[in-house]
Amino acid sequence: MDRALNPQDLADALGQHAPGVLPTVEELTDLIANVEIRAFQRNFDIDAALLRTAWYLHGVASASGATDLYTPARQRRAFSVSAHIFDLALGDTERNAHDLLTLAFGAQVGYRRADLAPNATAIYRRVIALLSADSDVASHIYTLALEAGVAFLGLDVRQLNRLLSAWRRQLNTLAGMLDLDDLRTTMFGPSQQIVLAVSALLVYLRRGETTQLDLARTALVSVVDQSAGEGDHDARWVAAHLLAIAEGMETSSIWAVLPPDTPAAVAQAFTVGSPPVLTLWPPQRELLERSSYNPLAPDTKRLLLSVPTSAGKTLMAQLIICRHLATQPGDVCYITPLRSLGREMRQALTSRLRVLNRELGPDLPDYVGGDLDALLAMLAEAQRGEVEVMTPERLMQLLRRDPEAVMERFSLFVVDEAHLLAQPGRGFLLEALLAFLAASDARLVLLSGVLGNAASIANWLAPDQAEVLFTSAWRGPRRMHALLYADPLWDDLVETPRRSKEYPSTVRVPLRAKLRVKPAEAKIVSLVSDKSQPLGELVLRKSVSGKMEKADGATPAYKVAATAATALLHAGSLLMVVSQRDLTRSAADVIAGELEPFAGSRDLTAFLEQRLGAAHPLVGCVRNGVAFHHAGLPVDVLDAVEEALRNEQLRAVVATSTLTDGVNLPVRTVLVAETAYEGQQPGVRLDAPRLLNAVGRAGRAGKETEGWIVLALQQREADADFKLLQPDDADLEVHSTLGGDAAIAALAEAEALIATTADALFQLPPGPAADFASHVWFILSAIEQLDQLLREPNLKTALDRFLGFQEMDAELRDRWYALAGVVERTYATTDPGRRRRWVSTGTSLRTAALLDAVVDGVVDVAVERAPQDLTDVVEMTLQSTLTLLADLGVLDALLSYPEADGAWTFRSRRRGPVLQGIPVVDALDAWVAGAEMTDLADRFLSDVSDEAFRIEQMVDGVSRTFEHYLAWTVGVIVEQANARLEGASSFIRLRSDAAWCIRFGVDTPEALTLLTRGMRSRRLAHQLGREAAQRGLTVEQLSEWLVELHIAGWREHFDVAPREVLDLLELTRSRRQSLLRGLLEGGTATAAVRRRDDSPPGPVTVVIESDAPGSELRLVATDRGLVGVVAASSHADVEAVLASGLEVGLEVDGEALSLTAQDATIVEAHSDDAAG
Amino acid sequence: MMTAPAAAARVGTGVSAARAAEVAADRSDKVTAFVAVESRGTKASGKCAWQLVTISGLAIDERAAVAWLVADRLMRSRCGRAAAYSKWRDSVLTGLPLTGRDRDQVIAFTRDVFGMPDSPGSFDHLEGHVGEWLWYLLMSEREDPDRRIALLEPPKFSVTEPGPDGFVVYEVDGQPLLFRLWELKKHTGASGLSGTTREAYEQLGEQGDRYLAQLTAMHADKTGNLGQICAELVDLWVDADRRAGAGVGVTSAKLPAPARCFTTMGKHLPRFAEPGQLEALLCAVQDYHDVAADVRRFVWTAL
Repeated sequence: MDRALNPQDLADALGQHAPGVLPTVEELTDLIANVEIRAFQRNFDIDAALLRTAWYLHGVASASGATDLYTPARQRRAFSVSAHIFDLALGDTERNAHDLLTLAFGAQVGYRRADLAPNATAIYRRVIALLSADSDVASHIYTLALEAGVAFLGLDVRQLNRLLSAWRRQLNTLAGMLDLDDLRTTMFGPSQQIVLAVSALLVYLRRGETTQLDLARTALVSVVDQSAGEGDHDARWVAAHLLAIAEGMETSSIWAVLPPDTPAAVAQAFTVGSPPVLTLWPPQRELLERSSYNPLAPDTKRLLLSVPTSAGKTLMAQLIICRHLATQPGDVCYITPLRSLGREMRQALTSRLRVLNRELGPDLPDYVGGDLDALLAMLAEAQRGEVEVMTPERLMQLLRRDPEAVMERFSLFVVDEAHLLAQPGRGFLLEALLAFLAASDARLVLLSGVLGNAASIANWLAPDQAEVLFTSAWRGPRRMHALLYADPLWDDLVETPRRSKEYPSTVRVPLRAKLRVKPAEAKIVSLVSDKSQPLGELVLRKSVSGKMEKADGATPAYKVAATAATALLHAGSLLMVVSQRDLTRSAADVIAGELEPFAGSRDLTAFLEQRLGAAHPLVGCVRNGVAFHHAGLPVDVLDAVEEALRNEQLRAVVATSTLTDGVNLPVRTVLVAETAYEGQQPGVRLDAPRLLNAVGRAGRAGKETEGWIVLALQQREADADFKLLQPDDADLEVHSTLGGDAAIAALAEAEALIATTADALFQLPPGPAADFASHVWFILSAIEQLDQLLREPNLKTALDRFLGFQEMDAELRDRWYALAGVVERTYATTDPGRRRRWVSTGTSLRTAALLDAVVDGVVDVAVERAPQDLTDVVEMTLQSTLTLLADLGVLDALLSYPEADGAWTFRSRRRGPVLQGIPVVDALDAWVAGAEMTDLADRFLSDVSDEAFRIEQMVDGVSRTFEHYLAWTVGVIVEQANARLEGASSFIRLRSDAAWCIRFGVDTPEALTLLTRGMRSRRLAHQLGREAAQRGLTVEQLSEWLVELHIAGWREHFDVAPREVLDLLELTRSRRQSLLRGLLEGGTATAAVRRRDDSPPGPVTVVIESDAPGSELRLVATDRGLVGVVAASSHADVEAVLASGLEVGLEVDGEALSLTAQDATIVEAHSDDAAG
Repeated sequence: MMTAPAAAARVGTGVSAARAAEVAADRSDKVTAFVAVESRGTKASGKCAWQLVTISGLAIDERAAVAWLVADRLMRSRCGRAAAYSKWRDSVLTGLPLTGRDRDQVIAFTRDVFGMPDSPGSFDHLEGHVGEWLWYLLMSEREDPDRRIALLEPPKFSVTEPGPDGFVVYEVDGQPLLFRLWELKKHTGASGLSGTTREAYEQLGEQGDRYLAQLTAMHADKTGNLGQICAELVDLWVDADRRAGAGVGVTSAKLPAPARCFTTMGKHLPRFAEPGQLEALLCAVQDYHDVAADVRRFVWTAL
């Protein structure tokens, strides 16, 4: 159990005492548990005895160097337990500021020195309002040292810099007024020295200058030995702890753990990039300090990191990626099956790469078939990046198209959530990909959650090299486990007669929620909701004999759970996990119904209204701060929901547990309310790894110190149910899907088919056997192309690299070999052109062959319709291309393939019949012409009377059919048709970017370019595309025009929403001219300015003022007022500088803004004084 | 608590700082030169052995001298090497108030405790602060044949924030070091002392761990025997080891001082049962209000 209330830990921390002196382990457990339970009920009272014990433990832990008295392990536990108690005491906000700051600092020190640094940051966030930069220091000199200590341990660089800068300035002013160089020996001296020490420590952490660490130590020692001044007890307490922490920083800072030959920019990418990372967590340090198989060493070719969620795995990946980029040739490919994680990684890497003067590749969607090269050519060279973030599907698509190019380009592959190779369905593709990559010389780093059989997976990755495995059980926030039951109030049942001889009465039993909380290993406490306000009812039919059975009309379980969830929102954001897509909406509706409108979600609501239409059910929920999240929603909507959750603009999100499309973000509380249902695919069942992943979301490292995990169960309560939340190793073992029941059944089916059918390979139904056959086809093709790049290229060795082939017995292996042999024989007899084409489709061989036939028809008609007088290659318009496909019935045919999986299916009402004849061709025409969702819904689904359901279905239909399925398959057809037209020496071509137009719902190349460059607003892309066409501008010229227009102009011309402004700022940003890089390397950088016409000429010192992200960065001079604004081309970069917390001097001269780094010089000057 | 106008009306003895300083200097600038000390109670198990320090029957300028010693020491502590200290001292000794920047400098060091003549700070807090300084001066000047001070914490500069009031480590020949954690209170009302002392005992019981935990960190730099005892403070305290002990200091305006005091200390802190583990100091100050007012007057005279 990952909690502080482990009895052994408590016993170790308390030590041996006479009875009655301190609480016993049991008493202490009870005291803490009671406070924890009260916190569930928003009561934060804390017992005096508990607090006294916390101080005792803090004292034991604080005795530095007393190793003869207390072991380091005991001190660490004492720090951890005392921090936990102080943390709980901090909940009582009725305490005065001094008390709160004292408790906060005590908790932070405890967490920090117990190696739980993220919790120290979380504590800081609780008292941030008590840190004052605006009031004069003299007015809070009694608490200044505590404030500085708390702020430092929060490591919130931007805020810390603001505070330190204000405090230093005020203390300097005070010293000046007292005719002193500094305030040492006076009553203000200790606080000043702490502020200076903290400033120096910050510079040390950001720049790695050890002289700053020495300056900090000198200043802190002067406080402890009272040479800085006497009488400030708090300052001495703070200084003593900071001194101990400063010692630790020498080994925990990023600078300390990176190898000495690492370029400084790598460390700076973290210490200055956003969000800044100044110190590393224990598992991160441990990993980076490994003497062999160090992840940063280029000769570490294989690595498997298996650590729990929230252990900082993503940061480890970023460090590995950034150092590799800075020191090794070749690009980096980060792969994750979790789309949400991919989006997270993109966001995290963006600013870090800018510090390195590198870029991320474009965020291209999966499953857009066709000529990717053409698209990439369309994206100017400047849009290429050195790091690509993608799903296994997209990487496989790239490999299928051109394996040589992929393997030559990337020298490091980082595969996150690698344990998902065991997931039924998508897992095989990941396994296949890993087996393929493992055969290359590229570096391959696998990251994974907890694996029950990590050693054997490591052995698969790199046989007989046990050290490729790195594991750690560390995690920051504690987790509180609870079980939620619907508790029938039998005493209040109502029995009514019903018309049945067998069951003559109906029994209705009110339900309340019962929460069974487990705050300590041996303690379970039950909390119940108000009896007078039942959350639903149980409906039973009663037989003549008195036997009762469930009857219709009972309140669904999700409803009870969702209503109960609202009682947990007071602690922070909540993620509710349900089993079906429909339930996400229903549960979100229930939660939203319990809440008032939420101001924080206003921007998201506005965006969704525009994107989905006001009638979409998501809009109404989001208005009250609740969202639902499932794969049927467009990617940009999911992205917006995740961003809002991350920025605390949502109070709750309800999602399915589908890992691939689930919410990857951490939250305060996770409520798992899954129900198994009939027909549920094995791949979507809530198994142990999936549950662990869901519960791993509870507790946001750095934001809170505890996460709550609530598992809602529809069964009679039992203590043993808590075990569900703690799966053991056996539950968490990862095995290949090839050895699973579904795969073996599919194999048997394939064998039977092969025995009876000549072209069985093309008759295989979708599933594991078809996937295997398709992949074997790819391997054969890759072997043909890649014999130089792969070790021992032959089919058998390639198959033997599969985890499944290593796990299965010889008999099963032979059966799979036999299937592979059938594929090999067919491959050998297939025309070489077709072989290649069938690989690149990414479909089953059956569909690939069908597509081939379709393409034959398309080519014939294209040639037939082509003007006879062509003398050069001409592309058909998008409209002609789509018309041609429609005339041949291609779209309808595509929708009949198994891969379509029911796309473009609509119903008149939720459980109503399927509507026939919704014209996909017309809808697609309207979609690419820019029709909004509401227009499409009204036009094509007018038979659906429920407006919300109408729009919801259309959003789902467009997302699945246009944005995914047709974009993929039409792309394949267009590419293959064009290749064949070229081969046939025809001048006519289908529109080569047709698939991308379908994917994005646009019809101009300009709009398409904007969307592939990261613009998320289709509406705006359409508008800008038209503007560009009207003005005869290329996209580059359009970008320049937009820079001229600036933010105010964008609002005026295009009525842009805040989110769209951010997109335009990214679009107009000057790439590869990182101001941050310039500042860090040379100390200065220059940005472009739009100067006010009436602003007097000549250089002037300014400050930057801004209202919200994406609003103008106003340059204001003290004596002249507004001088101008930062130009759009520099806006994002200047914001990155501001976000980094670097202290910069700003001067406007003409149309240029000079930025000069200042923080180090200031601290040095003052600390020199202090040291002198 | 007194209201601000009433507090402002307190002007003390009216003796000039120069005269007070002169009288103090005649007695070697020692507070103990103006006090009478009696030992009370017994060093027995569960009993408090205490000292009664009486500052009474003094001439008016002698009382002013005590106030001067407190004011001077307090200002030196607050100002450190800042010129404000000597400017203040010169000003109050010559009777020539400071102006402009010099005045502002002194205000920077005094406003939080004393307020300004036209907007005085809490007199209640001031009396408490003066009591803490009196205790500190008495302890530091006290000559105890049985033990020597190895560590004595100076008073906090804050008058409102909680924290350890008094902490002393003693050396005793042939024995390990021992410490006493003191809680200091003032008593100025008409009621008996028992309410004040009870509050002190309770505070020691409730906050002792906290103060000692903080002191452990603050003295983590100490080495040798002193480092050893400072590392063990909380364990010695919760285990009521013979090296640990509690002290209660009360500065009282009540005269004559009661013959019996601190009688229930053993009941409130029962774990400290070794003889000598409980000690106390009652400082009975005649016209305590005037002494506190004099301290403030001496500070303000420069303004």
